[in-house]
Amino acid sequence: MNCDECHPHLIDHAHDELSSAQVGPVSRHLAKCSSCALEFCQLRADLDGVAQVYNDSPGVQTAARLRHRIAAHFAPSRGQRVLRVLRRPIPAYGALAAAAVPIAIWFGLSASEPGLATTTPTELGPVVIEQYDGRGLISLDPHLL
Amino acid sequence: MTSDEELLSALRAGDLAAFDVLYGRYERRLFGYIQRMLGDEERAKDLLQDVVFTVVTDETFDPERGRFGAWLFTVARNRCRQLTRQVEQRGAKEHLLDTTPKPAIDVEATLDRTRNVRTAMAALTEPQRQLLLLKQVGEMTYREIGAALGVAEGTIKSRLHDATRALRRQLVALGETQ
Repeated sequence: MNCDECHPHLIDHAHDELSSAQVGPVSRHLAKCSSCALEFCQLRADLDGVAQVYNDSPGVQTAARLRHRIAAHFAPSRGQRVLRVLRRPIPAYGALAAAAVPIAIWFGLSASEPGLATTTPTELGPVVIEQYDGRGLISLDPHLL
Repeated sequence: MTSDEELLSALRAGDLAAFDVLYGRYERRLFGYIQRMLGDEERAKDLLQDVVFTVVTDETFDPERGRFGAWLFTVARNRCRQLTRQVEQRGAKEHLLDTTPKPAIDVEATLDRTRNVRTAMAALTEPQRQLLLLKQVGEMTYREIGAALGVAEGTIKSRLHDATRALRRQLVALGETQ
């Protein structure tokens, strides 16, 4: 691309309106042609100046008043607020669920274990040994075991 | 980065944080544009609120048919014209559409560049100024400007070329070389 071919594209390039197929050749020409590059930079500076000049803040009061109107218009109902809280992906929900699993397992295991003997010796009463010959096990009343 | 259209959807679902982000993206540019169109800071503040409120509460916006930003500036332009016509009808034309540079901004007094750009813009014709504002401040494409003004894209391109060259000539005449 030479200067004559590049020149008609400079304004479009400054406006970011060149197609992707056109940007490459124009950019390559600008990289090697100082005259076209200078003209392009001037155009860009002019247009950037326009964007910068008309760039003012309306102030915080205007923003606050507008936000108040917007909030009043889009204020969600009570039901929507509750639903939103429940749907919110809070990491605490995950932590809570993770903590609940081992607790549930512990409860489950506790419930399924056979009960340990909790009787005290005083509840057993006296052990009666009848006709023990010293060779076998002592025969005890089964309900005491 | 979340798109404008996604933020708008979130806002319509009641997420006010989405509005803060969306407003932050357009606040300064939109206000600068409206202020330039009306030439009156207080009216511009009121109109800014009306435009933003109208746009975000208008359920007819279809993201499939265009960008939020282009729609916002199109509405702003129409409202500015509407207001200007109303004021003109009331015989208060001198209050609005003052094409002389606005001297109220501090930076203008201290920066030659800013003053020169304002002066050069004021020297352009109103259609040329409009096109440059919509392109540079509104960041609209040729196609979007064409759709907003009801003019062919090629015509917009040609007119913007003329406006850009005219701006350059004015700046050169004011001593701006770069």
